[in-house]
Amino acid sequence: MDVDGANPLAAYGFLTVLEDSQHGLFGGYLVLTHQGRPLEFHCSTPVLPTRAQKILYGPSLRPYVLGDLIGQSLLDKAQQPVLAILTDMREILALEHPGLVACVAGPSPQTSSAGATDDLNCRSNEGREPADDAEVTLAGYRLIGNSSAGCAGNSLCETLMPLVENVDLAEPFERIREAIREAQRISSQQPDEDYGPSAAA
Amino acid sequence: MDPPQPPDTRPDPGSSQRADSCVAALPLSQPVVRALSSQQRIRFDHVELQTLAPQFSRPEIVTVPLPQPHIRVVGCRFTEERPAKGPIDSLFSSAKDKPATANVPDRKPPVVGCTRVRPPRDVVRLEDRLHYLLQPPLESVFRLQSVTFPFEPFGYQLDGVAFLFPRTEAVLADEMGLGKTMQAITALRLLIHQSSVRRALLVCPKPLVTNWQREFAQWAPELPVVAVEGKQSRRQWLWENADSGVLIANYESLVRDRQQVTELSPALDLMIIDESQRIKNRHGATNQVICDVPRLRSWALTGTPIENSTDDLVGIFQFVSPGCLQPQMKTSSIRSAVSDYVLRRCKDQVLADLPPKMFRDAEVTLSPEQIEAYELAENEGIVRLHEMKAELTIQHVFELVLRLKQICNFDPATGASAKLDRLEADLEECAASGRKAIVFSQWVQTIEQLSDRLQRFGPLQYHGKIPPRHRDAVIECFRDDPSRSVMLMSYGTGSVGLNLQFASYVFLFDRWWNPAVEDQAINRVHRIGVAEPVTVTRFLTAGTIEERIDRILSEKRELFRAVFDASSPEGNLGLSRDEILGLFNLEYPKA
Repeated sequence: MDVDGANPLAAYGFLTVLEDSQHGLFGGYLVLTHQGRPLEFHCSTPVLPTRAQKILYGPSLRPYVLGDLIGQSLLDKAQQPVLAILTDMREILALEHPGLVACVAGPSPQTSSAGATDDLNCRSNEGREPADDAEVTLAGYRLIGNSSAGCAGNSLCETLMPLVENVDLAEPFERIREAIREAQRISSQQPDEDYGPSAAA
Repeated sequence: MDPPQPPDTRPDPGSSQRADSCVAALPLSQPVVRALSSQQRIRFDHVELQTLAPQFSRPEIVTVPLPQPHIRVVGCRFTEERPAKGPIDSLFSSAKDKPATANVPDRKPPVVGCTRVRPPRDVVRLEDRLHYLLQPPLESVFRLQSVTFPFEPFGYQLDGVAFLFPRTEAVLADEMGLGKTMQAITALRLLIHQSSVRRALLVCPKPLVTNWQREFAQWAPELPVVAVEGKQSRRQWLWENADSGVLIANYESLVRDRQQVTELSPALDLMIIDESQRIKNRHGATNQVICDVPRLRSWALTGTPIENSTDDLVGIFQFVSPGCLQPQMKTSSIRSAVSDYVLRRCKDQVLADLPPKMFRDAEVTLSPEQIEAYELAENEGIVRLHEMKAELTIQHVFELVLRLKQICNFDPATGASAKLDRLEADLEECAASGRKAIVFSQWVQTIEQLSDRLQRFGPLQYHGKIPPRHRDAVIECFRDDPSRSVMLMSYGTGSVGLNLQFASYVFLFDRWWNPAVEDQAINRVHRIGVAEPVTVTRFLTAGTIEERIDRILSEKRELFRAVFDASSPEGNLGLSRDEILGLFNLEYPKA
C-alpha cells in the first residue's frame, strides 16, 4: 500500500463485514476518490466459524475472523493505494496496514443529541477512552484511529478532510453492504466460475 | 461460490457416548498438529486440544481445522481505462478528481441523502450491477455536478429520478400531481450532463406544449428546448437539423410529420411520451408513428396506464418495450412482466402531508320535467334499439346513453336541472368562503348552459372552443381574480397537464366513461402545492343510466388495482361490448 503521494488521486478505503445468520460473514472493501467515486471493490465469500472454533477462540474469534482473515485478505487483493482505511467495525481496527486505519464509531455526541452537525471541524479527544487509540470528532462522527499505525488525531483529520467535504463517512459502508447482498444473491443463482477471481479486474 | 466448509464438529445427537463438551466429540481422524500459540489473540492455522472425554485414559490431542483463509475475492476496478457501458459509467466524467488538499477551512458537511440508482433487472453481469450499486447517492451526484433545483425535491421524486436514469425502457405511472414532469426532466438533465443523451424528443398533447416549456425553464434552465410546431417547412427543418437538445412535439403534429420522424438519423437518444395513454390503441395511427420513431431509450409518462382494459397497457408497451406484453395476457402475468419497467406511487403512499381529498357522492332526484323527458327517451330508445335487430351497433347504444345523460343534466324543453339546483347551493357556500371551484362536464353545451345560470359567481370557461392561445390567460384570471370563483371545464381539455391547486372544490357535473379520466381531472387540483383539503362532489341522478355507469366505473377501478396492487384479486372487469349493451338489457345480434 503506497501512501507516498506518487499517485495524484486521493483515494480512501472503506472496509466492512456483513453478518448473515445463514451464510456467515462477508467482507467488502471499497476504494473511493475523495469525491465518493468508486475506484475498486472486492468482496469475499462467506466465512462461517464452527461451534468448536467459537469455543476455542472465545472472545478473540471476531477480531481474528474480521480483521486477520477477511480484512487482510481483502486488502491483499486491492491494488489502489489509499491514504486511509475506514471501517465501521472496531474489530477491524487492528489491521496490519502501513497507512491510517480508523473506525467510524458512530455519530458524535453533539450529532446524536441535536441532529446533524453543521461543521467539519476536527475535535480531538485524544486521551479519552480507549486510552491507546486516538479519538476525534469529524463531520458529525466519532472516529477512532489505530494508534499502532501512528495515527494521531490531527493527522487523521488532516487526511480525511478532503473526503468529508463530499462524503458522509457512514454512507459508503451501506454501498458495500448492498453490493455484498447483490453479489451473494447472484452467486447463489449462477456458477462460481462466472464471478471468480478471473472476473475481477 | 461457497468455500469448502470445515468439518462439522458438532456432537452427533445419536451418539451413545456423551461428551462433556462439544470438542470431545470431534472426530479423531484429523491430522495432529502442535499448538502454535498461547497468546490471547490467537494467530495460527491449527490448534491442539486436550479432550475432556471421560472414556480417554489420558489426554488425546485433537486437531481442529480453523476456518481456512480460503477467501475468494470477487472484485472489480473502476478505472479510467474501463470503457463506458452505461449511463452510470460516465456519471462523474465531468467531475474532475483533484488531488487531496490537507488543510480545508470549516465547511458544511455533505448533504446526507441516500437515494441510490439501482440496476434494472436486464443488467445481468455482476460486475455491471455492482457498478451501479457502488455509485454515490443521487444527492451527492447533484452536489458534485452543481445541479440545483428551484425547490427541494421530495424523496420519492428522487427515487423516481433514480428509477428512470439507468433505464432504457421505463413507464413512470405516478398518480397525477406527484411531479412526473419534474422527475423526467431531472433524469433527462442528468443524462444530458454526462453526455449519454444528446438529442431527446418529448411528445405530449398539444395543449401541454407550453406547460412543458415552462417546466423545462424551471427545472433545467440550461437545457436548449425547442417546440417543433408551426408551418410544415419549419417543422421539417427542425426534424432535419436539430441534432441536439430537447425537442417538444405534440401527438398530432408527429403523425403529420410521420415521414420525417420515422426516418430520423441518427436515432434519438431518448424519446419521452407524456400522457402515454394516447397511444393505448395499438392499431391507431398515433401508436404506429410513435413506435416507428428510431430511438435508443423509451420512457412513457402517464397517471393512468390503464383506462379501459389491460390492453391499454399493451399499447403503451408496444412503444416502451415491444414484445414484453401480448394482448389477452392474464393480469398476474402482466403484473410480473412489467414490474421492473413500471414505477407507480400514489399520493397516499408518498405524500403523507398532502391535505386529504374527500369524496362526496351527491345523489339527486331528477326534476319532474326531467323524469318525464328521461322516461320518454329511454322507452322510445329501447324500443328502437330492439327493432334494429341485426343492424344494431355499439354506436346506436352510445347515442342513446349520451341522450339520456344529457337529460340527466338538463331537461331539453324547459332547462330544468336538479343537479344545477344542487350545484348552485354548493357554490354559494364555496364563494362565501372565498374558495374556488372547478366544475367538469363532458359537453361544451352543458358548460355554456351552466355559465348562463351561474353568472353571479363570475364563471370562466375552459374547453375546446376556447382558442389555445387564450387558455393560459383564462387560468391566470381564475387564479388571480378573487371575483372569479368558478371555472367550468370540459374533461377533454382540462383533465390533463394543468396545475390548478389553488382551487379547493371539484364538481363532476356528469361522469366520464372511465374513472382514469375523472381522476386526471380531480388531480389537477389535488396535487403538490395544494394548501387545503380538496372536496370532490360527484353528481349522480338516482335510478338513471348514470347509476348503471357508475357501477361499471367502480368495477374498472378494481381492474386497475388488480394490475398495480398485488393484494387485489385477479380479474378483467373492463367495460366489454356486452356490458354496454347490457345497460339496456340488449344482446349483440348474432351473425
